[in-house]
Amino acid sequence: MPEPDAPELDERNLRSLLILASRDVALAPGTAQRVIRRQRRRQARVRVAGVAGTAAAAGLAAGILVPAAGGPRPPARPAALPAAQPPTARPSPARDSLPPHPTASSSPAGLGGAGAPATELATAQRALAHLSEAAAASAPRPGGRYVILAEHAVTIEPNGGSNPPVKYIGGTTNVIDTQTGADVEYQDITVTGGDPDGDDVPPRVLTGPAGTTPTSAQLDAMPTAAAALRAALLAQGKKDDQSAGQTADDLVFEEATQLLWQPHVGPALRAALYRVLAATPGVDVRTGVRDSSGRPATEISRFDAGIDETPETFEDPATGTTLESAWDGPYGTFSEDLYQSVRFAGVIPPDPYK
Amino acid sequence: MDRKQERAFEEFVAGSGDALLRLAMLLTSDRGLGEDACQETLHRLAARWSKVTNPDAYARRILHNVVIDQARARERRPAQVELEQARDDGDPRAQDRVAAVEVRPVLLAALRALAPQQRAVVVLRYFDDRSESEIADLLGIAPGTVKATASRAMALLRQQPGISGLLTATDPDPATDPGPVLGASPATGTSPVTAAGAAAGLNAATDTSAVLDTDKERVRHA
Repeated sequence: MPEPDAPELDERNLRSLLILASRDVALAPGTAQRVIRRQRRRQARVRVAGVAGTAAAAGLAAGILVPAAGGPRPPARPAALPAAQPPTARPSPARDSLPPHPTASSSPAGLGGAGAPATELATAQRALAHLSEAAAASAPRPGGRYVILAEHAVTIEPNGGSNPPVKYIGGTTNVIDTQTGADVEYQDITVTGGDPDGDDVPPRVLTGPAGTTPTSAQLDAMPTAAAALRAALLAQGKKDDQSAGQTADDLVFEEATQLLWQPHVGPALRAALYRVLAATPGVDVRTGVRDSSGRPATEISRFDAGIDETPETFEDPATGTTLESAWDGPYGTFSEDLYQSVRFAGVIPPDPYK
Repeated sequence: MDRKQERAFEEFVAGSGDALLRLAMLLTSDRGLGEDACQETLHRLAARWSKVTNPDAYARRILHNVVIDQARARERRPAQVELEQARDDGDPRAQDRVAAVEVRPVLLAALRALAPQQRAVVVLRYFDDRSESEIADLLGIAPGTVKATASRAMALLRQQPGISGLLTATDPDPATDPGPVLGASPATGTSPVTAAGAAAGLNAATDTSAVLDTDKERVRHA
């Protein structure tokens, strides 16, 4: 109950209180840039539809694999950081709690080249070969037109100085139509007054445009010879809006790992993608690690100087399937997407939020 | 987005991002949840940027959907959602902090006592300066329901602990408070502190609501 002498809450002073309570709240610096970077990564995933579409092009002759000239591999993190923005430890308790594991790296000159110690090179090759074999031996793609994906996303960005980092953490459910390449979205409220046709939009399942994700048929048409596949990946990477400093190997790694992320890639193509990665200079491989959900994993990463980030992918060593896709950026920037579950179904499932 | 669109997006966030975050915080009645909702809104907006003709109105519609969507997701998957603790440090506008950090916890707690629809009506009506018909459109309810909901919400807020104390301890007179929320300067991020500034802010809000009338974007959940 109001105090005896206190003014009563009315529309006027409520408005003022609402303003008072929020006027010091402001977006963290660089928010727009962070959103744009994340959007670029999403676009990179969509772009693999183009990879699949162009894979069968006649011009992709086998045997054009030319490893990039070997140079010193960049450090996994920028060497110098501004004092005001110290590097943030990667917030992955499950992964970091593991004992230190030596990083194995493919050679800067690719398979058979000089650069990395022979033992590390051998370890990287063995790990990628193991993944390739595991993928090849895995069960064929399950029946069912739709892939239902439960994903978990984490983005953590430094916020300048000693401020706590900005975090975005959340789960989503997405559906891929493997026949049309459309993504299925869910709308769970009624939208009125905003429809260009003048009709209200009731709660329903909405199907996005076809072709935003590779179809199963497109994926099955991809070459599985490592050289031809690399050429297809590189051709697509060059067509995309690449950053100025990205090399051919940067593009191949990016396209290959984004393709691995697609849950309906078949065993043969998945095995071939690991062989491409094994032939790509500068790829780091860590075995015996865990992903951010604590699942046993093999980590594959490669520093990309063109975008100043280290894309990473965590693969299930038993099946060769992808568990997690992540990026490490400068100054502690961090982003990851994890598959919590992947299942195939013959019908679009009901809205998971209802 | 191409480079030109990215620049346009950056300009939009610079000009409207703070207002969007404040609205998100009040709609969720939690600063951390509001930051999450605002970020998700910006991500969804960026994903459709090339097709959006009225980003301000479109962002508000997305935000409303996101607030509802995330609340339902939290109910269904509480174990998967970890939320950053609300924080009040690190703010660049020290002159605004004292009043804000005193008012905010009490006011947000009071808002949390409202049902989601009541909270949405109160925030959209008295903070975002939306008309009853606009709110009815956005929430998909009848205009009469908006009026009744606002009245019930106001009555509930009057009963919340600390509200009357806030009115006594602060000077929430619009003639002296900083007023504008949507009128905050994008260049400095600071709010004008004059009644004229407050009026300018209200005008800005009115302009935005007018823009909402022409919104032709369809909102979909990602």
